[in-house]
Amino acid sequence: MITIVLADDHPIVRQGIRTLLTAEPGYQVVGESADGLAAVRLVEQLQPAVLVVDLMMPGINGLEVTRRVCALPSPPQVIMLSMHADEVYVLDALRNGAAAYVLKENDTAQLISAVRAVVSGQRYLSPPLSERAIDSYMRQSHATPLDAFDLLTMREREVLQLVAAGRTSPEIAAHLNISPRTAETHRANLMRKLGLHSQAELVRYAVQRELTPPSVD
Amino acid sequence: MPSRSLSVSAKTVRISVLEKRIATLEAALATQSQAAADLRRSEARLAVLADASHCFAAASTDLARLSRTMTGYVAHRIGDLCALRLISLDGTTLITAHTAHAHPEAQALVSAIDQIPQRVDVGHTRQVIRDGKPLYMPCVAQDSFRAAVPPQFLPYLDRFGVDSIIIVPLRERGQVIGTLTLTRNTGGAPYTPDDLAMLQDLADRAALVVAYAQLVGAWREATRIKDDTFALLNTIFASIPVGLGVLDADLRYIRVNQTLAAIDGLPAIVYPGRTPAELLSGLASAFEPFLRQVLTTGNAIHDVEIRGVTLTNPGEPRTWLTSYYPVRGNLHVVTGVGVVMVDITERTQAERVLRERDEQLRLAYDAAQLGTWRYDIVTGIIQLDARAQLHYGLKSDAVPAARILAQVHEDDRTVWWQTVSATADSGGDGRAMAEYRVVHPDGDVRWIATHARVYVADTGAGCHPVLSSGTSQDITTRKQVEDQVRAALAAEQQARAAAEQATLRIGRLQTMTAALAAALTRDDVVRIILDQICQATGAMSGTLLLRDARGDLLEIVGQTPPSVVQNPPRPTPLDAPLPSAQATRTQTAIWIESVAVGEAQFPGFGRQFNDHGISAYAALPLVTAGMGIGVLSLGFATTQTFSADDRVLLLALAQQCAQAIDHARLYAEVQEAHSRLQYLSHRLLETQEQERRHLARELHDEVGQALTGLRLSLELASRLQPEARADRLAEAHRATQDLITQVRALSLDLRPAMLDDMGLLPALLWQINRYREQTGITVDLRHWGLEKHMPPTVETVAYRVVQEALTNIARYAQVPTAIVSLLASPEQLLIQVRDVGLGFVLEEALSSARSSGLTGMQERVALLNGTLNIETAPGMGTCVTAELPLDAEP
Repeated sequence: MITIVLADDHPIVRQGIRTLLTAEPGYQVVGESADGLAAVRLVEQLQPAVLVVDLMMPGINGLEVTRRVCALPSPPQVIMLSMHADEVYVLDALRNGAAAYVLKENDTAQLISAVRAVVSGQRYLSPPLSERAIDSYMRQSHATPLDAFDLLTMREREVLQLVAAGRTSPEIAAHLNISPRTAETHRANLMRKLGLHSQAELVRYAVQRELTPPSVD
Repeated sequence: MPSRSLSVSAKTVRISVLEKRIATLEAALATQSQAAADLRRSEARLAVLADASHCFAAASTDLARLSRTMTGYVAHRIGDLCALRLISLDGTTLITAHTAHAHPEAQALVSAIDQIPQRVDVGHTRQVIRDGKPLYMPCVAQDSFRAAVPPQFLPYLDRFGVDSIIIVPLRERGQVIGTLTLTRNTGGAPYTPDDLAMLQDLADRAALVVAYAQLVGAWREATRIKDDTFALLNTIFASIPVGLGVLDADLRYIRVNQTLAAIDGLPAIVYPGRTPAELLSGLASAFEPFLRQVLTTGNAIHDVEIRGVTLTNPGEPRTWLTSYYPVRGNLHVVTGVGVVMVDITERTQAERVLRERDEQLRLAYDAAQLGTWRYDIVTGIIQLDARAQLHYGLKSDAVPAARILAQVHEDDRTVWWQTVSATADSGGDGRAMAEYRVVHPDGDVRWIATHARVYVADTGAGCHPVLSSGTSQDITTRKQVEDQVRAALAAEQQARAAAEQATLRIGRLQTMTAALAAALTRDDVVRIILDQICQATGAMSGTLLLRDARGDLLEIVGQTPPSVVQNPPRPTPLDAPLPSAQATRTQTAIWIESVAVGEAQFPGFGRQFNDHGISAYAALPLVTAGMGIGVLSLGFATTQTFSADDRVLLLALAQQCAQAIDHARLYAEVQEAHSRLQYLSHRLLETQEQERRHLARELHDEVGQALTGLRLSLELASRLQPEARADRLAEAHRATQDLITQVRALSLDLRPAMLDDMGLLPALLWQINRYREQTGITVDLRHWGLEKHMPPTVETVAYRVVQEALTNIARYAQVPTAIVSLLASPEQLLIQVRDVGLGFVLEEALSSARSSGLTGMQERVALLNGTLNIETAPGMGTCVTAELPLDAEP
């Protein structure tokens, strides 16, 4: 007998899912809850084999519920029900310990497949979700090597190079055909963006970046 | 029936005659009662006048008593205040003889006011004195009356008030000699024309009495003076050591003094009525001819020596110097002769006395440091004593006149010659004095004063000056003191004038400051500065220059007087070598006192002074909050010294101007912010409405349609046999699926739940995927430091900035790729969205339909105190960079 706890704030959805699950031989829904905190208590108390939890719930959401029940001494297999087909949610659910991620909009029969999969120790993702898409998303969400220099405006890059070449603000202004005050503003902005606080730091930065002074004459 | 008709007609005639008589009688009665009333009034007036005359008579010629009596009488009989004022002898002042008041409490006040003399040309009395006609104001118009009342009367006016007033002139032989004023306190009845007539009568009488009293006073004074003179003459007559005698037309003695009697050896009392021959048989024949000659000719005879014996010196003839004078009575007729006799027998003694006096004179000369000289006009030689030689810087006691002239300072030679000529002129009084400079051989310049007297000799062919002599005195010290005093006086006057000027200028400064404080807009401030600067500072011209928006140019915002130059004034670069630029840069005033100074400090600049007709220049920096915002330059028509006070004053003025300009700027900013806020509120509402419209259409057109289709499918299914339902239900299932997708898309478009649930990075990833799906543009997302959570406001703004920038790229850039970079540091989040597409002209975009998106971005960033920078140009791609601070919550 597979014991199941159901957590969803919509009674109609809950009723539908219960009908679906109890129709399967060997499945028993032992508890139901309409919010996240109650679900965690129920799981703690009943120690079911499976928890079917909706991602969107009042109080604490399904992701948080998953994290908490997975920290229990004998955690259930968690099946996440969700409207969201976005990889970020799937990834978060899996990271928090969920074994399956089932899209609500899909055929409800998938839920049965999910229960079967998780009790036999497998992961289950509703189509069109796939491990490959999640991997791709994880790659995308990884931070890329990026330094502040890339975010300087073109003008700020020009000013940076001229400053590194030892030019004064009036000289830079004359060279770029802008006012000394504007040149001064560019210089302050780029130093702020680069996190530099002095002329010395600025020159050192330029040397490290191998910013060769352009010909300004 | 003719007789009857006649009789009736006769009766009618009689009745009509009777009626006429009755009417006449009634008229007569009315006239009579009128006359009786007039009579009563006249009698009352006469009684008053009679009483007054009695009083005046009692006062007699005592002016003070008369004044008291008359004013007291009128004050009590007619009421309430009566004042007698008399014009001073010089005609300028009105002196109050006395003011009486019917009420004792007012009397003290008016007596105090009486002490203050009043000028004849002020107050209500002025026109009375001028025209000689009464002023009659039965009911006083308070405001205009008060305005003309001299200030010393105001306390009285405030305390007791005046409701009715009469002022009549005191006329004496056609001339106004004073006024008689009668006023009634507040609450009194108006004066009647009778009161006026009576007061004028009283005044006329009083004028007579006053004139009489004045005459009597004058006569008494004259008598006293005459008596004094007589007493003095008598004393002189008796005590003078000269023999004096007066004889009548018959040459009988009237009177002689003791000295004359002593000369003759007779007692003085025997002389009156007797002739000289009766008294002095020996001497009479010697002077009687002169007495007769005076009687006959009326001319005096001077200095006649007679010799003879008298009873005093029977055996020893003596010599007298005698003079004879006509004594004139009324009508200038000679009524007698006066004799003066001086015994000159003791001539030797007199000569000795003379020598002593000469010596004394010498001593006096010495004491006064006087030199003496003699100028022999005939020979042209001037003799000088030792001190005179010192005075003229000469070492010779006799020199030609030309030698002296050579010593005189060349500027003063005319003076010297004029003096010499004056002394040589026989027609003059023979006296002259002059002050001139003498240059000593050692170069020392001394001031010399000379007094000269000329002596004339009768050569038979007329009178000629032959000799002049005089004194010389060194007055250098006195001159120096005089110069010092004159310089001190001039300095004092100058200082006073400067002080007055300063006071005037401070007043103008205050006016200007007040006007500036009241001005709100920059235009007003500039106008006030230009309108008033010249008057407030004494400058001839003023120019107001302010830094432009970028801060490196000085723009002329106004000139006074308005420039006549055709071309618009060129802005001055802030680093130009000009006073205005330097003053702004250094925030230090520049003072150029003269053309030369200007040229020295700013080569080329001082020379322009002449073009503008100015001689001095000041550049006053306008500084607010430590920032030089511009300069106020002033040109002066004359060379200036710019004293410390001047500088403080001008700098204070510049400070006021700077503050006013800054306030105007703040005011404009507030106005701008206010209108911006209004604009944004307006746009918020507009956007909200637009979103609602969009949402409503989506719900109705898409969701509504889908739901309708779903309902139709389900209805159809319910009517079908169970076995035929499956297809319909599958259809309904698909429709439901579509519906879910649609609602989800709608909700995500509005705001992705992911931004709230999962943070910025997942939301951006979702957005970029969706963007690629919708537009086919690949986005290269680069990020660093986005794992940590940032404030929701920052994440929302970042999300929207990227969304808006990407939307623009899709619409306008025509590129297959875009680069989005985000970099979060502890202090800030940097966002950059870049493409290498078409680019655009920023200014055009901001004024076109695209502007609402760009402006929206700017507004969102600005709300977080961030900055947004858009770099673009046609063909150069676009780079949008936003900086959002993280360390400070807005």
